[in-house]
Amino acid sequence: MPWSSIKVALFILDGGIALLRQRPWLVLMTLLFTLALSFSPFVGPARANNGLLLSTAFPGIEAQPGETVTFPLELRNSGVPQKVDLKVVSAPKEWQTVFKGGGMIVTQAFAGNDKPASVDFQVEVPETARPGSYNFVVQAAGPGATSRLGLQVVIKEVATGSDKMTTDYPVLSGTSSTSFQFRVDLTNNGAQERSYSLAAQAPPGWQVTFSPAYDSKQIASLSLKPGKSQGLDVTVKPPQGVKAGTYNIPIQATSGSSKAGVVLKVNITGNYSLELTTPSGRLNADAIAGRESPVTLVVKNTGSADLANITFAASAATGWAVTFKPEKIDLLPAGASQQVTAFIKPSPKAIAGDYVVSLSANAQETSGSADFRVSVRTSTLWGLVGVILVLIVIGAVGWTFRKYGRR
Amino acid sequence: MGRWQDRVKEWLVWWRQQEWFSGGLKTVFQKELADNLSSTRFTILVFLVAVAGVGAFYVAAQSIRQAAGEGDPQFVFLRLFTTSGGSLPPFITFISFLGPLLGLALGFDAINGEHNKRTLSRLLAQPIYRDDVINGKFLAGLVVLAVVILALGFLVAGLGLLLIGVPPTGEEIGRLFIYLLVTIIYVAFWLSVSLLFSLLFRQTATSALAGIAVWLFFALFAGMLAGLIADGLFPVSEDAAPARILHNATLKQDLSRLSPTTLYDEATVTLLNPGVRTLGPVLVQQLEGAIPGSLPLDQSLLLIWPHLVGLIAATMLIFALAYYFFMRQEIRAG
Repeated sequence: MPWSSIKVALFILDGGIALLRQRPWLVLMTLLFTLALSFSPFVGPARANNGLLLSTAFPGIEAQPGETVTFPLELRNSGVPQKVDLKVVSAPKEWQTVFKGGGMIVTQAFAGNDKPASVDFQVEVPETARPGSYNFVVQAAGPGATSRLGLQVVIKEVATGSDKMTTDYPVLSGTSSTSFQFRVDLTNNGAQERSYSLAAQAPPGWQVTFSPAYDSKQIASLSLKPGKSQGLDVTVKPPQGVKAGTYNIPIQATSGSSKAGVVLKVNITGNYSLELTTPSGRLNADAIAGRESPVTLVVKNTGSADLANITFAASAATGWAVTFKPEKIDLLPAGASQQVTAFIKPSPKAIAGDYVVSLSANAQETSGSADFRVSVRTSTLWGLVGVILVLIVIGAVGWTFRKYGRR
Repeated sequence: MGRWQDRVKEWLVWWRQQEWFSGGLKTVFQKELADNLSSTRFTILVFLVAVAGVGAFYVAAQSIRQAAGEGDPQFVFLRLFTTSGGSLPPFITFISFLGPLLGLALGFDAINGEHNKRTLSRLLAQPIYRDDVINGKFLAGLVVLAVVILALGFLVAGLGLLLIGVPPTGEEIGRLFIYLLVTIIYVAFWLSVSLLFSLLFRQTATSALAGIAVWLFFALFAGMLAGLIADGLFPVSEDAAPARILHNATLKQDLSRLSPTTLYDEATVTLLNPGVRTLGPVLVQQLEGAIPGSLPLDQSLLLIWPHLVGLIAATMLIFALAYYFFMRQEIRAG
């Protein structure tokens, strides 16, 4: 069987040679047609057609959405110098294209035959462009000659991680009143200068601000040259009265479709604060020497963590007694308050007037205190004794009048 | 109990019948009032006290005006009475020193003067009771003194209003008023003392001298004597035990409080200076935690209540003594 196939091939070759010998014009025409087809403007670079040649060094460029791609075109003319119309023959929908020359938008170019005219063809890749190959055909048409050039823009799948945002200390901890400072490095790994907008997804009430390293300006975006990196200070302020716990704060730098981000963590440790006051805020009280007088107090947990085992104490002069009811609070949740009654008993020997009594509420973690101005009054008992004495004297004088009067 | 109430009621009925409806008391009272107010020695004394008081007050007002804006502005009006200006002692010192003279001057010849003029037997020959004479004389003296002291007090208060232009608060007015009442009681004490002396001594000069001697003794020497006795009983050397120092100070104060002058001075200082919280020795532990402040009026009154009781009781007892002597005295027309 191989023999027969070899025979067929030889026959065809033999036939071809015979055809070339017998009909040389037909073979030439076929060859010409094939060549014309292969050099047609729909495929490959334009060919010198009537002396005009539109060309570029790199007809295919890889780009990313949002970028602007520039093809530097060269227009050669081997014929007579002529004015040439520049035109985009075909382009994908919604892609903006423009010819630029000498810094201006151009529609025509003059093609001399001594040196090539150079025109830039700019293509703006839409943000929404999907990965794939996009073809363009541009045409330079003069009165006597036309040249077409096919161009290609290829969009690859977006390479995440091409930009980087890193931090050495992603978790910071502190109290609710701390202002947390993170140092974040943003690196542009792309081939072009990019402008990044900065954003943070913080829980409500949290304040996140960005500023360049060693600078106090607050920024919302920054521009980075390819391969460069920039340190950023991210300041995170928790809202007042935030509960203890760990909070995630993702921050992101976005440039076109390129995103870089890092998740910062804030660990709020509970802060402990206790306030001792009265329902009306008045810090004075009246008391009678040697007698108990009640004072209503309010214990407030103004911290962000619960407090347990709150006890009370008072510092007063010797001879004074201060007792509390209840004597202790087992648990006071964050933000809660409770009423306590203090019974202040001044010394029986206290001199009338004002005294300072310092009351305090103490938990293991913290304490709160209030200074009370206690106005001590003395008992009116001795005053009554005096009144009785005066009455006795009046009685005695009256008795004298009765006994010795009217003589 | 019922028996006791009955007796009081019975006594009150008797009192009203005997005293207020007998014309004798009223007559003696009116006559004495007229005599006192028109007498030269009384005019001189009132003038002396008034000039001294107003002078001291004026100087105090000047020094307060110069010191305006400094220190706390509380009780400015009362400080007019307690501030000493330059070389002049404060108003209350003048009144405390010269007030007794007024009382003594009104009473030293009340009874023995009538004796010497031989008018007492003539007076008693009139249809008036004998106790109406002494009661009328005492009451007339008391009313005259009250009028003089209240007039002087309000004159000075009005002057203070003019000089410093700060209206007194209600509490200040109350304190001033009580101060004037205490002063009346104090001067009445001296009136009753001089009334007693005018009974005990036949010569008016003797009773006047005795009154002045008692006054000088209480005003000047009682304090020194109290110190002498206290130092004698509890000698205090430089390194004495605190208990001994306390004993000494307490005894000294207790002794000097036997003098009505001391009682009056302590009472008036407490009344006119609300910052006074205690009179007498204070232990450090009592001051622990104390903050300076002023006492309310009722607390100040409570503090000096024993003083007031003592003054009132002494006045009444001495008057009762005078009354007793007068009623037992043999009065012959001579």
